Amino acid sequence: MKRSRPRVVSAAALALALAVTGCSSKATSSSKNTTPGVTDTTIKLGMLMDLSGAFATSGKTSNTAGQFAVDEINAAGGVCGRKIELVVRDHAYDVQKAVTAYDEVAPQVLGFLNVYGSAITGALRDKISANDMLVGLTAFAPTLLGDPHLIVVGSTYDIQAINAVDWLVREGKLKKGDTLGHIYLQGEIGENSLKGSTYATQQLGLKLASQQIKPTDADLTSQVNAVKAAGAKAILLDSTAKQTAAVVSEAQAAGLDVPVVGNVASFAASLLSTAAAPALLKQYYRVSGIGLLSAQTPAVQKLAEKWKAKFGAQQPESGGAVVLSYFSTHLWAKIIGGTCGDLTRKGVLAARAKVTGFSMDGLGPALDLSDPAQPSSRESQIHRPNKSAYAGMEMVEDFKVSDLAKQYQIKAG
Amino acid sequence: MTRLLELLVNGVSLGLLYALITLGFVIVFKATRVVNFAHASFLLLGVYVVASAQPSIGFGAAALLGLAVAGLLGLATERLLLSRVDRRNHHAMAILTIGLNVVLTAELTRRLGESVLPLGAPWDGHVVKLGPLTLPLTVVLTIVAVPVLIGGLTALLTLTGWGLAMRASIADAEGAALVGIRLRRVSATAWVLAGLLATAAGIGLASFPSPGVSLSIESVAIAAFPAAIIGGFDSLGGAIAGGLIVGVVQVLVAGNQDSLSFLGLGAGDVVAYLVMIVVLLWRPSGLFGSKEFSRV
Amino acid sequence: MSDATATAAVAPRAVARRLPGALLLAAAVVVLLALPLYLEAFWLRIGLFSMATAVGALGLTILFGAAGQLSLGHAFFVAVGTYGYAFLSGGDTGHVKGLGLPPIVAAVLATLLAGVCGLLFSPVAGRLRGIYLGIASLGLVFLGHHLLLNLRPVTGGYDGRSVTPFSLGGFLFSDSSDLAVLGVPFGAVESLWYLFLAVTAVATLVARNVLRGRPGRAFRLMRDNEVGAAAMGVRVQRAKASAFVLSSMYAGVAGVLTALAFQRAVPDYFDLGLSIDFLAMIILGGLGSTSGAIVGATFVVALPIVLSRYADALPLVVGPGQDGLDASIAAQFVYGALVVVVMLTQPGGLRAMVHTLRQRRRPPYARRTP
Repeated sequence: MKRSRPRVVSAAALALALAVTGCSSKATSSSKNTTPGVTDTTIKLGMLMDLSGAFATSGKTSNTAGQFAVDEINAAGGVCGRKIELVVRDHAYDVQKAVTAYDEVAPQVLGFLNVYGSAITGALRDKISANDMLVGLTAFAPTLLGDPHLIVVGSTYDIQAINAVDWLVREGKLKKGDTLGHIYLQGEIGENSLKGSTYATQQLGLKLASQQIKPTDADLTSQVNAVKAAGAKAILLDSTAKQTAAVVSEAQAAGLDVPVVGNVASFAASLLSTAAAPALLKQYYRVSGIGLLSAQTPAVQKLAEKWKAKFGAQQPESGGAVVLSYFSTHLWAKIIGGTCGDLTRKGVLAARAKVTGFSMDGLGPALDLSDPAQPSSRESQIHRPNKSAYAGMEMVEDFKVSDLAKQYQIKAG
Repeated sequence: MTRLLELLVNGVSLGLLYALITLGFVIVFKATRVVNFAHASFLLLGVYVVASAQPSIGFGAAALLGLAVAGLLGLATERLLLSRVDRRNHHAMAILTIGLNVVLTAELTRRLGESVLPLGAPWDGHVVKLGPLTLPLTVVLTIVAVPVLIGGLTALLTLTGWGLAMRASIADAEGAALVGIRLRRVSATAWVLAGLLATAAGIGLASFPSPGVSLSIESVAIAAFPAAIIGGFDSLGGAIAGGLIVGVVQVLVAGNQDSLSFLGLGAGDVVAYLVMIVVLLWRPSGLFGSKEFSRV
Repeated sequence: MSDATATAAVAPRAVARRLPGALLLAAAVVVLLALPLYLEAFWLRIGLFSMATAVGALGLTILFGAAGQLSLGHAFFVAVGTYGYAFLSGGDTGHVKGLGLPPIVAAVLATLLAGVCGLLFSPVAGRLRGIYLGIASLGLVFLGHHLLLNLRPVTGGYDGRSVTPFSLGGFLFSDSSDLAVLGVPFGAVESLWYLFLAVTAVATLVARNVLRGRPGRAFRLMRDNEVGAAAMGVRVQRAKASAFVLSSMYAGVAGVLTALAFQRAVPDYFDLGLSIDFLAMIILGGLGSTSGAIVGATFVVALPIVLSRYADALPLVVGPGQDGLDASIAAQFVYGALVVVVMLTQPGGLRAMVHTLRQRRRPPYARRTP
């Protein structure tokens, strides 16, 4: 019996060779005409999130809030008579995993509700346009504008920076001739924000002292000291939430008692239980292109109630991520609803440009998606921390667009 | 001038914390010839325990608990894992600690995520003015407490039986075993010490003006690698010197980032490795390390 | 493999013993060549990543497994390959520059560039031993990462730069090619599969010859006893340097493949974790063997991705976004625990494990030590 083994093996090899020359199953499956992700009863949308890496908290929050919106939409009868289903994959903020997960999910979905992370979006952009895919983002870089495949919700980082500087001047915290310190992250967030602050300080007769940091920097003492040495009367901050805590405590330790305005991602509710809390409550403000979870409008309160019902006393780390994900999921329903007759990827891309006045009271500004090269809004809010407000933030100023931001020309990349 | 002095004091304080981390690393290497790649996660685990127990039992008790947990982790690593590997297979033992590090880091990433846990130390949030200098209280306390700790450790190594046994077993393991020294006890103690020292350093690293315990502390602790190499991997004095050099150079370079802009952004993080490579080109066994001899 | 009996004639027996092996190899080749016709892009992509990583692991197994030079700087040389290719083949876009060379020229030059970097580091490497070399080379990873962030015209900084698709003789290895084989559209993954397969096969054969031939013997001699090796006529410094250069070039090839598989180069991929993963791969697989490096690389690369895809079907592990043990955390646990268990039970790695099993299956008289 053992002697016959060579023959068995060669037979197997032959069989395989024959099988190869035969017709492949992949060939038949890829030639069908239906649009991926759409059946008579469902529409599937993908989500590529960081659910286990460095930004897992944001990823899980966005995922939950997106699901809230999907449940709501489905309970009201769905879109185009179909229920929305989410296909969620974790990329752990690892480009390799993200690229693989995209390859797996893309053939199953009509579009991507959310792809998280600038490096990951960058790695996927060529594939996204080759597949005619519409993709929602959790990023506000103006360099993402101009591509009809990407949705940037609300104002971009440069416009938010302009609105923040304008607010500081309007509030009398900065006067003509004063210096603004800008501590910003290397990469698309910080550098685009710097474009805004450079423009605003020039227009308003201010001086700018900028310091670049890396997302991994833990000790920012030297940057804070450099800004202090330049005589800054206010600080604009583009950093991670941890770095915000470091900057305000180091500013306090250095005796630099000036307002610090951070971008939308620079705050997390748990910071208010750290040693940085007193300094945050005293000095910190946040500029945001989307709504506030503690706002008093019915739409926002409905969302907050949903979170409370699911998680009880455990408040979300980032109220902004909850609002953004919920808001943009409803935006997606609106886009798909505009192309029920042509539920294809190309149809969805065309329907995106038809959305010109989408808004949900308090959750976000009125969005105009007709021109991919322009931001969908130029408005932003100012928030400040408050321990008794839901998710740790309260409103200082509602959606407003500064005159400077209105005339600012965006250079799409 | 004031600014330079401030930077120097901050650098020495950071260097002393690095020295503690490096000491634990070097003690383990001296006693067992194992490069402990899990050292940074020992540190993070210890200080994580402190921060998560602190709201319910207070900082003092939590600190003791954190020290105990990290010490036990060191003991368990030696007893349950490393003692089962062939003592001469140093590579296998080092790789084993890599595996352990992956598991510990995964668990801590799962628990900590993006969050920052407050340490709740009584010195948090306080600033001291010493003449023209404005310093966080943590810095002052570190500069006082760490040398005391190191002094105590030195006394332990020179005056106690364990210290003698340890030094003997390092000099000649077989000879030490012959005269009745229990090598296993020596290595177990070394691993416990490593856990304790790492946690103590972690408490310093997570104190004000750092906002608290977060995953990034683990990457700070990696600076112990170049520190240990600069000093000489098997020298305790070298560990302290290496830690101080890395701390001071790092803070000075980061503090003068603007005038050193040709080095690029964030040069403070990598300057330790530059110093390390220069030192190695000059002395291949570090500043105080013993030369290896080979017999044919 | 075959259970030849001691009584059979010598020459036919040898043929009979080799035949099944050769046929198995042929069958494996056929299967590998046919896979793109059947597998979906997800699996092919894992294959591409595994092959890219396996080539890098081969380089490290020559350096560490044979020559005994512990290197934690492998990620740096992989990065040189990736960014070298991206820069040499890329065009100018905005503030990111490129030379716009033909991809094949860029790939060869990027490999040579990694080799030159290895050569430049070899004076340091040649002087250092054991852990000193390990951590000095770890310094390369940190310095390299610093350069990736700061040499922005070349690297694109924190957000990285995109990679020009490979092309050879007018054929483009990208999704825009219209080629279809047997009705299967050949996009980037399908065509890259064959390129990667060819490169991996050549890399494996070269590594095998190096390890089994004269250089491999010199490396092992030097690893076991430097002074002894010198006495036997091995020029130790030169052998150390050549091991380092060779392994860096392997890393460079791995870097080029990584660039092609990702279609983008981002600095955060090339961190200390990648270096440590390479080390874990060759040790899990079995130090100093080519098959061990390939098996180890495939395992380490594929485990988290596959586990996360089938998370829903696995007990204890939950799908993305649910409360409980995330798939990629679970993969980390399995990976870490496996490294610990292999070191505890079988320091020779998976290859030694397979070998022991085979020895057990053989009748006692046929057993022999390799």
